[in-house]
Amino acid sequence: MVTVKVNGENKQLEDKTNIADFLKSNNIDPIGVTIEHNLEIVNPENIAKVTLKDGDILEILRFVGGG
Amino acid sequence: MQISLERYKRQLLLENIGKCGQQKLFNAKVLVCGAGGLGGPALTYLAAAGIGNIGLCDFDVVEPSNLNRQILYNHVDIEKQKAYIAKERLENFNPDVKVKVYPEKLTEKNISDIFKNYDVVIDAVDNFQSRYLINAAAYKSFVPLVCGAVCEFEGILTVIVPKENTSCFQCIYPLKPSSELTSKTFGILGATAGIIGSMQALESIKFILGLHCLKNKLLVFNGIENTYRIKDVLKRKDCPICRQG
Repeated sequence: MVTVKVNGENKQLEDKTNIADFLKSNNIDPIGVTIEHNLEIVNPENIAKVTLKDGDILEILRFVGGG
Repeated sequence: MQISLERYKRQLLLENIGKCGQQKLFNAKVLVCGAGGLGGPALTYLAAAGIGNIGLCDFDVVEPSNLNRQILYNHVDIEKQKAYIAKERLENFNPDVKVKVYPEKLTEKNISDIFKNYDVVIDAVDNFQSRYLINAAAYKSFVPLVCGAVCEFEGILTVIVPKENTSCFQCIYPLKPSSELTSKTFGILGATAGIIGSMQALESIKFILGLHCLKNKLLVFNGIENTYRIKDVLKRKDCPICRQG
């Protein structure tokens, strides 16, 4: 297991979970969010290539643009 | 103009305002881009506080589906132009306030000319395309920008100050959303827009008064979970808008 801080909260994840897996298991549609991994924005095409490690910081920010 | 201070008595009692702060508010010029779900409460509370010069930019007409959240309008206003109705309501609400309207779409051509007349701009528009345009123009014109947005039960809020070289809207959303997402119509509850729009007025007033505001921070509000999360927003080295300077 690894501990990843997601939007400020510690979450325990299975080893070798990638960002795409994480979003899927939390029912988050990647089209509707911008993802920051250790302070770097992740290109949506690469989310399956980024494996989460112990101590990583993930910020998932929904596209909010209405008024 | 001789202004009666009686109307502002309760805010004059505030240590951070007083007569000196109230004069700053009377002298201030604030532009609100979008007079809808966010703009309505923002404009109302700016007028209530006695912001002396308010600009209002909106080219739309009132539609029935606006009325669940756009509190400046009612059913008899349908198909009328929002900018003129809003001006009338706000000036009736507080005759100390002058409202100038721009009933036109913001474009790369007109935006800098409009922005240069204001001390603070509020981004209260309803689409991402205009948000990127407003962010870039604010940075180019060195005008502080109070950016708020809502979607369903969520809202975000940040303050961008180009003269202090803060992070900007494009630092938060560097990759523009897909056309699939931008073309989708999301639900919005009026109360959520009311919260964020009111906070946009609050952040603008605080900025004018020189008080603490949400610079280099992003407030994320979730109305379902009743949470406010404040996240640091780092300036991106590769941001095409704010990396200069």
